[in-house]
Amino acid sequence: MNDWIAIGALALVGLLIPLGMMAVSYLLRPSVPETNKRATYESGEVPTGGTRVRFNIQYYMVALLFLVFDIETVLLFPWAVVYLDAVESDAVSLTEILGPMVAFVVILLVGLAWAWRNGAVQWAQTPRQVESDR
Amino acid sequence: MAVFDLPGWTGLAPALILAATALALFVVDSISPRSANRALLAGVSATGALASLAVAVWFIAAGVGQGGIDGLGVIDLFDGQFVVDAMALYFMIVVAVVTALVSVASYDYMADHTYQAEYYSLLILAATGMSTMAAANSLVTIFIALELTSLPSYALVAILKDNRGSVEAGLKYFLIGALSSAIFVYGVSLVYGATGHLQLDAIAVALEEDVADGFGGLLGLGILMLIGGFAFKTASVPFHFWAPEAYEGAPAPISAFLSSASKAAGFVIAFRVFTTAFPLEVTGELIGLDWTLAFVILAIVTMTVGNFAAATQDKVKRMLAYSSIGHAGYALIGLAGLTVDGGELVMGAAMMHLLVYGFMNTGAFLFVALAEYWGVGRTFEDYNGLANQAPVACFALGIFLFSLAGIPPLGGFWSKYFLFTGAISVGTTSMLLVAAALVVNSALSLYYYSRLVKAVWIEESVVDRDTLAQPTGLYAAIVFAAVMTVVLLPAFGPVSETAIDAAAAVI
Repeated sequence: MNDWIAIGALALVGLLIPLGMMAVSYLLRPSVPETNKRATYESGEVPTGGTRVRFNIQYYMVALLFLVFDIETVLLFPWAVVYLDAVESDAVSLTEILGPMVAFVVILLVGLAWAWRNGAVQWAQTPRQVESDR
Repeated sequence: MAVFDLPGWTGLAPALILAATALALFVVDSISPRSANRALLAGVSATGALASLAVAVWFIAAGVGQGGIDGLGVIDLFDGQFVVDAMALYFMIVVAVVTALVSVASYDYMADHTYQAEYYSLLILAATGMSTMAAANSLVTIFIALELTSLPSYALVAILKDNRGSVEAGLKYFLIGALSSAIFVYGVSLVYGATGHLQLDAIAVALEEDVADGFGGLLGLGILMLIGGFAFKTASVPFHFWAPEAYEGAPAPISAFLSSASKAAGFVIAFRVFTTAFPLEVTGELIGLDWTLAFVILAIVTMTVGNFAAATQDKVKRMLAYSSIGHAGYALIGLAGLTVDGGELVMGAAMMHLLVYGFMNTGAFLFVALAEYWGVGRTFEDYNGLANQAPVACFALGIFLFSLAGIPPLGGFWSKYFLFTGAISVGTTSMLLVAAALVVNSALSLYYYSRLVKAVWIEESVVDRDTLAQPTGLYAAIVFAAVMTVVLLPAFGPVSETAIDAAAAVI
């Protein structure tokens, strides 16, 4: 049997189940039209204003810095897992296993220090606050 | 020599030195973010670039990448992800030279700029990427190096934040760059799908072992998309249209940097990928088409488009931008002329041309930087009569332009001459056509280059100018580039030998 038949059957079932549930509930439920049902969150907050909210530009810097450390973690995890084995084995010396990661972290720290010194983690100030600081 | 005792990873020293220089610049800026010590920043970047240059020259002199008794052989790193051979070192030298010239010239050009440290660190980071590109030997490392070069370049083009032209150029450059990166990485995935490998030698082995049989179309499409990526980086047709916009809007030293170093780096990966990964015979059988044919067409179209467009420009910087596209067409001959059993002469000639071009084109753009520093304007008429006020710089400009045009006693003539004889020696009809196009286009280019020389030396100035300042850094860089354009002539023996040897080693 072709493998694709199984995949096709899965796709078909995946499509039929939600459609079937919607059809059954359409047949069973009573029809009570009401304006509240048209609200965005029927049982929650009353939405105010438009959807295009302005975010502070500062979030962008935070996201950027987060990304750097996120990637650092991804690299550090597999390294940490093999670290002890590598130290115990004779094939790899301590500098060989430790050196590259230390260099990597140092590079990141230089970048973080630079961003910090240049005010990347300083919360944005309104023009009035800047005036009063002077 | 002591290279024997060094561990293998030091083979990447020219690139690593540039990376360390960028970090040093960040540290300098972290210590005093408010004050901009221009001399220190420019000095650190120039020193780093010169150190990288010195190490690369030393490696070549010590025989890295050469076989035989006194050669040290090719250095293979990280399972062949990087390879340091003569070609890699040759292009590392080109990148380091241009970076040093641009850092020195930027000292004066960027004098009133707010973001000093950022400018120099981005410059050095881009140079690191280019240097890495020269040694990259796997489609993954090539892509990473390509991005490491591109991302700082976008920011550098747009670094004059209050200048509409600069920001517009940066945005256009970024959009086309992102598009071509996407096309390139998609091409990488198709090549991987067809062969199952990303490392260039492994791709060649897979092709020879008939792994990719039946995937000829897939592979062909992948190769076509890779060419798209290279065309963007080298500013050749069909991805050339960002170049005039980006070069015109960017600060002039950055235009020099992008049009010389970035172009050379684009060519080194194109050379390496096509000579290493796709052997002509096997690939030709598989996709039913000789890939050199694509480069024959691209070379002719690129040089014709570039030169004809350059001839109609009114603005000097735009003219130089289009002429830079034309020169990309000349260098493409190096790939168009490859044959199953040879082609090292024509590829070596293309490498020579890129080295000479690194001096003469950087110099010409730095003269534009000087003119922008003086504030004389952008069109040919604005340059009228500059020779009265600044004879030294204008004499250097004459050298650059006549060398770009390929007038006999200068460096540019020799590299074009080698390209021409190389193309003729291949002997196929298409290569004779390419050689003819080279001659016709060079003759045409003489027209618009001499137009600028005429404006500077013969025409009378339209407005009365006061005496012009003589900024030390810019002058030093221009004079040095001019001297090198001339000096390369007696030194052409070793240079051409190195280039042809390097080309022969990779073919």
